[in-house]
Amino acid sequence: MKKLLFRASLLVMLVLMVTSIVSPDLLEQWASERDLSRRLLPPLTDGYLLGTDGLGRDVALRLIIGAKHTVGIAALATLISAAIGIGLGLLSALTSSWIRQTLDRIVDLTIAFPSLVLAVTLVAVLGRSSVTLAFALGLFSWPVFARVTAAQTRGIVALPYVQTASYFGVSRWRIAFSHVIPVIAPTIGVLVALQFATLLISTAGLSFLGLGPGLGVPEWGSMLAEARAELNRAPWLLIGPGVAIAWTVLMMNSLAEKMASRLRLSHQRDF
Amino acid sequence: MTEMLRHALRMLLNLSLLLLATLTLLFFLVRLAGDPALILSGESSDPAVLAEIRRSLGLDQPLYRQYLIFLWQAVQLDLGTSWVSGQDALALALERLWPTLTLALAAIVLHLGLSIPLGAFLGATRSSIGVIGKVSRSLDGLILLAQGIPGYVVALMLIQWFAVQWQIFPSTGSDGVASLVLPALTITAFLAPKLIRVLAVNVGDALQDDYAVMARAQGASEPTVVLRHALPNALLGATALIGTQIANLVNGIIITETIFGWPGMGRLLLDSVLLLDFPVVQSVVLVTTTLVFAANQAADWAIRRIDPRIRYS
Amino acid sequence: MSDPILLAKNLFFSYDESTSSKPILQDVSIAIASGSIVAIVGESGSGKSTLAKLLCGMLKPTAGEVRYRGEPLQAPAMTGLHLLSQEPYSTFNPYHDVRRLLCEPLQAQGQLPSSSQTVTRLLQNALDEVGLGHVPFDASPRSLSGGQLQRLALARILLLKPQVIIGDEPFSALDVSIRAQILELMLRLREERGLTYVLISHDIDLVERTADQVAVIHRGRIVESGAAKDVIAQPAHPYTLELRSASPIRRLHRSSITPVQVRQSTHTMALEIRDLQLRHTTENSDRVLVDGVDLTLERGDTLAIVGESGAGKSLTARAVIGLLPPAIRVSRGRIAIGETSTLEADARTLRQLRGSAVSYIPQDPLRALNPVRRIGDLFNELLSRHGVTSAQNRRDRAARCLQRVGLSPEVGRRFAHELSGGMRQRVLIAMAIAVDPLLIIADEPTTALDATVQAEILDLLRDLTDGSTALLLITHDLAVAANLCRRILVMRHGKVVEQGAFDQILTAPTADYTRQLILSSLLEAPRSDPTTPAPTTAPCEHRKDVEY
Repeated sequence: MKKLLFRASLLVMLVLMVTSIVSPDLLEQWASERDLSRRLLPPLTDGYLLGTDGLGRDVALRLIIGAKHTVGIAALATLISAAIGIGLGLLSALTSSWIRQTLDRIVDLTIAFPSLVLAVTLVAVLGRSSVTLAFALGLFSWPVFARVTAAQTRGIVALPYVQTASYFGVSRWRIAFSHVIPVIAPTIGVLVALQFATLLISTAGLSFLGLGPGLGVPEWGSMLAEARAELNRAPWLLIGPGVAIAWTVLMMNSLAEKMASRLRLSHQRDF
Repeated sequence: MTEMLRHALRMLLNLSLLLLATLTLLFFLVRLAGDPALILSGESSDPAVLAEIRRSLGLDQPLYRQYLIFLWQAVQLDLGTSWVSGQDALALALERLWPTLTLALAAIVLHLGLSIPLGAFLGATRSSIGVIGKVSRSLDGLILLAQGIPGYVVALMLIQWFAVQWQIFPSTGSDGVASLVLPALTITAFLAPKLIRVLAVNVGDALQDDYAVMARAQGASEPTVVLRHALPNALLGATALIGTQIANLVNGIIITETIFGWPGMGRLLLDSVLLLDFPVVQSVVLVTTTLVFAANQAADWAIRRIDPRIRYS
Repeated sequence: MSDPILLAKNLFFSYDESTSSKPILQDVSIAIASGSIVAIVGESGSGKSTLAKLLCGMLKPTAGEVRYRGEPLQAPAMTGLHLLSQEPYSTFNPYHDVRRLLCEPLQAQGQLPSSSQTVTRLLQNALDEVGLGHVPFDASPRSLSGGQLQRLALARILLLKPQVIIGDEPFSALDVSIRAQILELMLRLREERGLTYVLISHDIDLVERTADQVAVIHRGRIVESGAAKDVIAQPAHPYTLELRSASPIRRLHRSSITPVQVRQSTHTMALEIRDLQLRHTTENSDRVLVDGVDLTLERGDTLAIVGESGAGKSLTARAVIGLLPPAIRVSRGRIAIGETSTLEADARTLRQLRGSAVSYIPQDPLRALNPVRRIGDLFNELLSRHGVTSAQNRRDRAARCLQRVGLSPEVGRRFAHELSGGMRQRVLIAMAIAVDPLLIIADEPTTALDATVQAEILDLLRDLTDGSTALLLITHDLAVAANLCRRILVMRHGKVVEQGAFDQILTAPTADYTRQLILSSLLEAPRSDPTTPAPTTAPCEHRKDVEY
C-alpha cells in the first residue's frame, strides 16, 4: 500500500515535471495572465483548482510552470556541486599525499560553513538570475560530495583486489574507472537525491528572500513570498507552493532512503 | 601544556586561513559586482564625482595594491564604513551580534529539548507492538513529513496560526520572550527532523548492540538500558552531525530573522546584500565565519571532553 | 648452489615509522634458489604475511632490500614474480566477469593480443591448464567456489609467464579436500614450467611433505632455517619444537589427556531445557531454527554445546536468558533456571533472575562493555540492581571480584577501550561471578581473543566454575570444550546430534557428524589460532594488545 502510494506520487511528479518542461508557450501565457477582477479567489472556485493570487493569476498553472524553475535550478546546482565534489574527492583519494592533505583541509574547513551566507552574497554580486542562483548554491555545497567520494574511494582502493590490480600494473585512473566508480555510483546516487532535496529547499528559500530569478517568474519560493504578502486575506495561497516544495523534498528523501536501505548504507549516518 | 599551546596555535592558524580565504573571496566578489563608485554615487554619471569617490576608496590604485590595503585594514579590524549610512561597518555588524546569539541560544535549547527525548522514544519503540508502537510509527511518519517542509514554510504557517488567527505570539519585533517563540520554533523546524531521525536510528541500533544485550542479561530494565546505555552512545554517535547542524542553524537564522524582522545579523546581511552595501556584508560574513569556526571548535572540544574513547587516545 | 633468484637482505619493517612501536620484521634475510620450494613457517602475527608482501614488492621495506634475479625489486609483476593470496575471494573484483578479470593484468602490461580470437584462445588455454576449462568467460567470481577461485588466481598468474610464485597460506581458506587438489595442481605446474615457490604457512606437516628448504619465523625474526626435513625432524630452536608439538596430530592427543575434574554433583538442578523449539518469523517466512533440544545441568556440572556456526547453539543460550534477537521466539518447550520456569515468568522475575541466578559471558568483550561507561560504574549499576544497597559494599564487592579474576581494583576507574582484550574478558567474568550465580553461560568466551590470552581465560574459567556453579559453554571448538567441560552436546542445523560424557564421545562418537567434527578439529589450524575466525581482509599483524 505504502509502496503503491510512493510509486504513484513519483509518477505524478514525473508527469508534472515533464508537463512543466515541455509546456507550450500558451500554457505559460495563461499562467502569467492577470485578471484583477478575479483576485485572491479561494481554491475550487470558478474552475480555479487552487484559486488565484494577488494579481488574479491561476495558482495551479503557475505551480506547474514553476516546477521548471525551482526544480531546474536545484538540479543544476546539484550537478555543479556533484561534479566539483566527486572530481576533487577522487583526486584526493587517488593522488599524492600533499594534494590529499590540502584538499582534506579545505573540505574540513568548508564543510561546516553555512553555505547560504556566501550564496546570498554571490547572488547579490552577480545579479539575480536562475543560473546565478544555481551556480551560487552549487559552488558552496560540494564538500559533502568530496568527503563521501574520498572516503569511499579510499576504502575501495585498500581492498585486496584493487591492491592486486595495482600490483599487476593497472594505472590509477583505470582503477578509478573500472573498480572505483562503478562501486561508489549507487552511494553517490543516494547523496545526489539527498543533496537535491537540500538544494531545492535552499533554492526556494533564497527566492523567497528575494534573491531568485526575479519578479513575475512563477518560482515556488517567490510564490511563497507573494503568498506571505497576502497572508491576512488569503492564507490558502501558502498551500500550493508549500505543498509543492515539501512534496518534492519528501519524494527525494524517500527515494534516497530506499536506495540507501537497498545498499545497506544505513550505517553511514554522517550525511 | 605545550600540547595545548600547539593545539591553540594550530586552531589560530586554521582560523586565519579560513578568514584569509573568505576575505579574498569577498574582495574579488565585490570587484565582480562592478564599479563600487557607481553603486555609491547612486548611478550618478558626473565623472568628477566618480573620480573623487574612486580616490577616496583607493580604487585608483592597481588591483593588487587594493587587495593588500584591504587585507592590511582588515587585520586592523577596519572593514570600512557602510556605503549606505556611513557608519563603521564592523560596529554595525557587532551591534546585531547579541540579538542573533539570543535567538540562536533559544533555538538550540528548544531544538535539543525536543529532539533528544523524541529521538530516544522513537528509537526505543521502533519495533514495539500495540499502542506505543502505533504512536511511535505515526510520529516517525510525521517527522519524515516534517523533514520535507522547509523552515520558511513552517514560519509562515506559525505566523498564520499563532500571530494572525489566535494572536498568541507576535510575528515581528524583538520585545521579550514572547517574540522569541515563533522564530525559535522556526529554526527548530529547520534542524530537528534530521537530528530526531538520526538519534532514533542510533538508539535503535545501540539497543541491539552487545553492551545493551549484556545490560539486559545482567537484569537491567528497558528504561535503564535505553537511558543509561543506549542514549549516551547514540548521542555521541550523532556528534558527526554537529558541523552540518551548525551550518544549518546559521542558514536557518538568516531566513528566520528576515521573515520575523528580528534585528540580528542575518537580517542585516540580507538587507545589506540587497542594497549592495559591501563593507557591511563583508563584516557580517567575517563575524559569522569566526563564530561558526568557534562553535565548531567548542563542539569538538566538548566531545573530546565527554567521549572517553577520544579523551584517552 | 647457483645465485638465488630471490634474495632478501636484512629486511626491517614497521607500519608506522614515526613511533617507536615494535617493528613487524627485524633483520630478516632469506635466499631462494631458482626452482626450489622454500617454506616460511610461523604463527599468525609472526610477520610472515608481511614478509610475503615485501618479497613480492607489494610493500616496501623500512630498511634492507629485496633483490630479484640479482637486481633491486622494481615493478615485480611485470617480470614474473607473483603473489598467490590466502583469501582468493578478495583478490577478484566481484563485479567483473572471468574474462575481464583475466584480461586486466595483461592489458595493464600491454600484453593483451589485439585479436579477440587470440585472447579467447589464450584465456581458454590458461583455464584448461588449471582445470577450469568448463567455466564460461562471463561467469562472475561470486559464482565460483574457493577452490575454483584459487585456480582462477593461478590462471591469471600463468598468463603473465611467472617464474616465482609466493603463496601466502594459499590453502588455509579452502576446504580440506580441496587443499590437496590445489597443492597437487601447484606441484604439477611447477614440474611443467620450472617454477619457484615460496610457501608461507603455519602448517608444519604440509611443509614437511612439500618444501626443500624451510625458514622458521617468530616475532618478526627468522629463528632457524635449513633443509626442511632436518629442521623439522630435529629442531634446534625451542620455538620450532613448540610449533611441531602444536601440530594438529598432537593436538587431540593433548586435549584428550587433559584431566577434566569430575566435580561433586550436588544434585540440585541449575538448568533444565525440555523439547525447546525456536522459530524465526517474519512477514513472508517462518523457519524453525532450533528444534527439540533437551538438556539438564546440575550445580557443579559443566556442559559444552558444540557445533558449527548456524547450528543454533548461541540461540539456545540466548533463549535461556530470555534475550532472543528480534523476530525469533520460543515456540515450544520449557526452560527452567533453578526452580523458576523462565518462559512463564513475568518480566520482573526474569530481570531478577538475570545477573543473579544466571550470568552471561559474551563472545566479544569489547562490544559487550559499554564504551562510554567506566568499569566501576557498570559494576555499581549491576550490584545495586541486585540488592547490594550500600555504596561501600558495592565498591568492596567489585574490587574483590576483580581481584579474583586477577585484575587490580584500579581497573574499575577505566573504560573498556583502555583495557586489553584479555582484561576485558576478565572484567566480564568478574561481573558474571559478582552475584554468585547458579549458572554461568559462556558464549564462545575465547573466540575474539589472541591465542595466548585464550589459554589464560580458559584456566580462569576452569578455576572459577569449581564448586556450586554450573557452566554452560557454547563453542565451535572441541579443544576449548575439552578444556572446560565434562559433558558435551553436539548440535547441527538446530538439532541435537548427540550428547554425553566428553571422553566417551571423543573416543567413540555414535553419530557421523560428530566424527567429522572431531576430524575437522584435528585438521584445523594449530594453537596459533584454534578458532579460525572467518577470514577477514584486515591484516592481523598490527593488532596491539596492552600487556598487563
